[in-house]
Amino acid sequence: MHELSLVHGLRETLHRLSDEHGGRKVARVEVAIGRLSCCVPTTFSFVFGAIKRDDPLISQAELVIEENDGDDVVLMRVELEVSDDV
Amino acid sequence: MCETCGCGGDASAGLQLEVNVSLMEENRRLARENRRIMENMGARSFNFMGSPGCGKTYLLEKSIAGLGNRFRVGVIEGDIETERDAQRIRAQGVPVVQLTTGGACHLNAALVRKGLEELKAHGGNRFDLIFIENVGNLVCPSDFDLGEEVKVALLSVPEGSDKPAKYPALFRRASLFLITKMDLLPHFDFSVEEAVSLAREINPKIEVLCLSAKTGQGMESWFQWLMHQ
Repeated sequence: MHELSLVHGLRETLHRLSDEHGGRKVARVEVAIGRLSCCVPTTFSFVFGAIKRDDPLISQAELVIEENDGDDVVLMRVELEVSDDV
Repeated sequence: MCETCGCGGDASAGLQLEVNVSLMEENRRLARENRRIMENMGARSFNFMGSPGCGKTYLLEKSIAGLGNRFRVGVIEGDIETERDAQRIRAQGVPVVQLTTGGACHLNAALVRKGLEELKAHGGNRFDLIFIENVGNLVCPSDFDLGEEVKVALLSVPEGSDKPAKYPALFRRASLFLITKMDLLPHFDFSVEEAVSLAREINPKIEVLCLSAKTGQGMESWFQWLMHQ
């Protein structure tokens, strides 16, 4: 259930990163989910898919999830589309 | 610049960022602030986590009654809906704040911050003990640091002694494991030995107390543990 609050946190972070780096759109997001984090990867994907539809910055973003043995949920890498004239 | 030919056209270029930031970081930051706020209030703080019906509220009622006037106690109650638990605690004569999550299955540090501000408004700035009762749930609450000093895991006899193996995250993070409703032991196939050994497989340092808030069994050891924290 708390995948929703995690995805909201992810979206805020993506907006902040995009503002800082002059991003137009997020192309790809890599998230590492620990098996002891109580976060279910399929639910996380589902919620991300539902949230991104209404947000032009992330609507085209591809989400890649890697699982590990930790107890945290970590935003590893982001690929931004940036305008040339920035 | 266009990466293909170096022209100054308006083609987009990808920018790779190595971020490596936990999505829990905002909650952790607020939890660190809560920890400082509760320390400044002079309080030791405890986060009680366990399934719905494992006896969290009842244990708090009996603990407040048993500790008497020895300590200034404040309570923050977390539930999805209703003021019911706060009303039970209020009847014990201590300041209590009810937080309702409106659907979320756990408390988070931001909600507890709100609770602490309300607790101060009701009960003043000084407390010896702050009890935070989390939403009844054996899974999600353990993921969220609230700024508490001690995480307490509760498991009642009717739930079965295999639960520490099936719900490892809570038992891994808790420093105290309370086995509750010990008065029901004769009626259930619950093995205290199994529950303790499964919990210690996950968390060798976890302390264990067995009690029944109803009969009073083990309550004096629990009070001693609280006082020596």
